[in-house]
Amino acid sequence: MKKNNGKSRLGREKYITYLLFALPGFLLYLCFFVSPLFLGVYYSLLDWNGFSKNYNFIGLKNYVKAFSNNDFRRAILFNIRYSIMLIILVIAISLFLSVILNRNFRFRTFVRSVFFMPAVLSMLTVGLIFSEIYFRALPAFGQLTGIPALSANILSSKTTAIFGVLFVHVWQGVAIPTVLLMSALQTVPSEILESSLIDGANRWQQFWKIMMPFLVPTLGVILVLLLRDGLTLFDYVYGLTEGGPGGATRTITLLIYQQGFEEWNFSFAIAESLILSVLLASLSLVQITFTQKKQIY
Amino acid sequence: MLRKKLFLAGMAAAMGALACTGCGSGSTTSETAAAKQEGTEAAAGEEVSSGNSGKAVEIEFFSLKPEAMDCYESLINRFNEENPDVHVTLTSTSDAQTVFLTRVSTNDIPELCYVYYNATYIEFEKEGLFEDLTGDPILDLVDKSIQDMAYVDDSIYCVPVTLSPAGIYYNVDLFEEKGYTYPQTYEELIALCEQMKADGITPFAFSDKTVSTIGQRAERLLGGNINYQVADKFAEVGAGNTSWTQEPELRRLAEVELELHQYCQDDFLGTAHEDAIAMFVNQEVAMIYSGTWAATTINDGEPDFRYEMLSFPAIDGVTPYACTNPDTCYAISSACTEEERDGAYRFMEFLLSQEAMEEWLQTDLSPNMAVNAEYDVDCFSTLTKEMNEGAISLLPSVSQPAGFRNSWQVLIQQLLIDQDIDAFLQASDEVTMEYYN
Repeated sequence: MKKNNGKSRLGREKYITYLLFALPGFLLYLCFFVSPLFLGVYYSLLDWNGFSKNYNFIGLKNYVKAFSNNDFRRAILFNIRYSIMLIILVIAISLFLSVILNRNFRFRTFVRSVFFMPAVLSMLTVGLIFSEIYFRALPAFGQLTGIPALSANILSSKTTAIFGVLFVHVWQGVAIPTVLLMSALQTVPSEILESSLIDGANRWQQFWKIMMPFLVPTLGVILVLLLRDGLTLFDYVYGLTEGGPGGATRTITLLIYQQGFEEWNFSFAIAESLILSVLLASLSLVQITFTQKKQIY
Repeated sequence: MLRKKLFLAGMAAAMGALACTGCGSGSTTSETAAAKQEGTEAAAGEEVSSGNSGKAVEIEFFSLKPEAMDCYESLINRFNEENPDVHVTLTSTSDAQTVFLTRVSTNDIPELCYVYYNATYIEFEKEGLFEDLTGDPILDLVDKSIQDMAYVDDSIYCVPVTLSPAGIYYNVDLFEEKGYTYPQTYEELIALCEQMKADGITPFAFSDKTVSTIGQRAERLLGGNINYQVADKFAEVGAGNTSWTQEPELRRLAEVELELHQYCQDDFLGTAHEDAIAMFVNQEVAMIYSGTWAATTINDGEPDFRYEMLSFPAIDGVTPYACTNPDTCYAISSACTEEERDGAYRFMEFLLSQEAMEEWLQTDLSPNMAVNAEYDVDCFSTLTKEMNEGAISLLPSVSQPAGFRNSWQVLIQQLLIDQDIDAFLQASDEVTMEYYN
């Protein structure tokens, strides 16, 4: 009995210690994440321009205005379209790469690092580098090979600009998902793979029936991350197109930035940010629920 | 065991203290800023006491011009050496405009600010963020004409120093070699472009990927070559009294834009501002349309390149005016204490002194309006002569609602894509109505 009491006291002490360790992080989270969220909700109900000492409470007018704003609706549709393409491409490519890079071959470590290299560069820097490639290198290549679609800067056309941005994003964006998927592949028990080979399973069956269920939890995380990247896209567009040509690549975040810092509609920009947050949270929730049902552990 | 517990408890306490310190210092800063903003006696007393203790007054100078960082650093070092009771520090970042606006929104305005005289700045003035300098003798250090451009409701809150007109940069060597003469009218310009095309020369490079350069070009053509009072027309359309389909200005602008784009490089929508300048310097094209701010980049690219910038030729008989706004302006934060205000003022006086101004003008090259400094930039000599004779109009965007030009310039980019003038006029009506109401 005494021993049990001792154990429980020890447990309580440990619990308090852990709590004390968690407390600073929790306070920081409260200070820098939770309180700005509530402050944001408050500011979104005002007509504050960002610097004036005079402002009025206008209720939900900013939200109504956002939903009736053509630019905002167009930007949301652009982001959704972009996110779908981004998710499909990044997952397909990173799945392929992770399976390939998980095998044993010469210079494997070197090749892995090559594929990870883009991830260490800043998004804006990558955007500016590709801006030059699209302006100089690609048109020269297009003219040399006689491919009309590549003979001009692909960012200068309303129809192709989105693909120019997407290519850069995918080029840089596959690195982290590939690493995550490679680590998930390490969790697949080799005995099951060997048994399946004996049973006559081909490579596709091995991948789809055995590996895939182990990858689902990681894929769930990647899906959420990519969805967030797609819906909050800013740096690439800012560095590559500035939302052009003719507003064809204007994203929600670019619009929020412009309305906040160029037009001085801070409260309106905050309302748009909150709408984006709700959209992002809802879609992430759907994704998480869906992938949780598919996972095997 | 006890030692381990003590260690863990100590670590946890230290982390907690660190977190609190972080929050605490932030809160102190904001309190100080708030106190300064309200000009409370406590805050003023605090600053005075620091001054009395013999410490130099700290002045933060915020520059919106990162390319002038070296020049400002050199000037600040000299000023600090000569004035031991004032210590000026420079804040100059690559994305200076956003940083500055963020600081304004958090009530953290630097003591002395480099500002552009535009719609945003006027909003700041109306909020009383900068000190009223009306009637201050420091304004005597700049030309009366530029002072007149910088008034807001009969008051002036900054010292305007340089202007930023735009026009056509042309390759002097090429013109001399081919015997071209600079056109005086728009029709002559088109004839010259035709001649260049026949000679196998690409007349223009336009940087229409950088949407802000489209807006800069369009508003300068409108206000300097089509109608000097076009800002009033925008207000009229905004008030719903007329529409752009009835008024001739935007239609003419659209026609000129589309016609000029028949004489430029193929991929104008894929060309950024720096790329267009590079094409001009590399002599791939004969001319570019840009502002005086492009001269520094051209000189950096090829110091021996001979070029000149002249006003865009007369459209429909309208005498070309340099459509511009005060570009370099210095403003003192109204949240300054008496000591800070004095320090900022003295540094501003120093910046306007002959020696400092001439050093600055070697970096900036923009047409100078400081009376003490000699301004002799060859490529702008004809332009500045015309400006001195009074051929100046104010940029329409100065009196337009903040953000209007950013939305409107996208419509011009759209016009260059679909070439539909009626759709452009209709969209311009909608945007004008939206922003003016």
